[in-house]
Amino acid sequence: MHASLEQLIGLRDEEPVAVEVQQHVRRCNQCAAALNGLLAARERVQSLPDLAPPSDAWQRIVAASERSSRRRRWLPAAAGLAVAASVVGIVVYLGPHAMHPADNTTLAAVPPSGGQPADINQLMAQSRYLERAVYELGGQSDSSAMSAGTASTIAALEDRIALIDYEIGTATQAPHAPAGAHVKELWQQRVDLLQSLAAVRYAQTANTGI
Amino acid sequence: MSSRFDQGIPDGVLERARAGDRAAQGELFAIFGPAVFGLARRMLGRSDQADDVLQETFMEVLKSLPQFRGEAPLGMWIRRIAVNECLMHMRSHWHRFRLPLDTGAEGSSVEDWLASEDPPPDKGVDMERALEALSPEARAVVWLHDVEGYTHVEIGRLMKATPSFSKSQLARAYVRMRQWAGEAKEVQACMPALNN
Repeated sequence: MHASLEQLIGLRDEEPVAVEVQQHVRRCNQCAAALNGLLAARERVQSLPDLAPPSDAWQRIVAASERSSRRRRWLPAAAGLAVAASVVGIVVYLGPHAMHPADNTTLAAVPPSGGQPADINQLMAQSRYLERAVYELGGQSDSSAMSAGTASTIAALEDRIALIDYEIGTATQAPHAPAGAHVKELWQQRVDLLQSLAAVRYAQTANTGI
Repeated sequence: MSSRFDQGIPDGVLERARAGDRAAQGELFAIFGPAVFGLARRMLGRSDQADDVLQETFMEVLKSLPQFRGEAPLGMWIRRIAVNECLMHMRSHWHRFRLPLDTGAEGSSVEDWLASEDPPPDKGVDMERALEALSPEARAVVWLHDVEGYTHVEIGRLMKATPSFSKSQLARAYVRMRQWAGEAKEVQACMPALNN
């Protein structure tokens, strides 16, 4: 009976391994060969070279960090205004394309929070509205002209929205559904992320001159 | 074994960075950026995702640096943030759609190991590709354990699993990488025949 690979890795890493296993490996050519192979393989992984980050990474981090700290300073006081401004900006930009004829949602039906906590229905309406705006902007942008930084920012925001969707789905389908406040908080996060995504899409579309 | 985050910082840089000095913060990025990017690239297997993690990690570092009390070395603090960001990406719903999941079907016995051929010792690039061929979980375990020096207990805690999960992922990963390297060698050996 040979040593298991887990036991050989334990020996390789100088972790405690049963004495009989150690004795077997000393006597068994196959186990000794496997142990040597594991040592060599670890060495090869460890000697993989360092990888240089993209050359503009630091500039992007500084810019994103400054935007974020500016937001942190004024956003709490002006959260409602920001929602309204970005929605209005998107509507002005998109003009008649902003609304799908079949969609009854209008700006008037999506009141911004105005500094007051929005109820869950308002948040869901804002979310639907922003999602459509993001969709419209995405359709108009030229993805081939998109920088890797913008593409990865969009992907990260979309990932986070997907995660929130998953959490909303889990929270509302659980047998003991959590308090409404938690679900509302998730919807608020979804609206915030969609706003950011809309802003990135809007800036990207404007920059490419479409 | 020393972690790639185990780097010295010139005197005064940390204090200046904490006080908001951009040049000093840039020095910290120059020291730790490659380690963060390398960790994320190896754990996630994609450069664009690694770039996201790099940005998110350093944004968090810049935001939290004034509160950093120096109880652990700075590099280890940055590493913890980076590993958490990587794990968040791995748990992301969309990320899981894009990457192969670990089926758990690979063997991990000595026989499985010996059944595959020894890869050539100087194939650094192949080892990179062999790592990429692993499931995200296995790749993360290999890198965290064998390069960053995390214990199986620590990895289990991070991945919300048991130490045994970490051990078996590591064993299976090495068998898979060895098999992959063997397969790659066979393909290389076939190339001249295909060209004839």
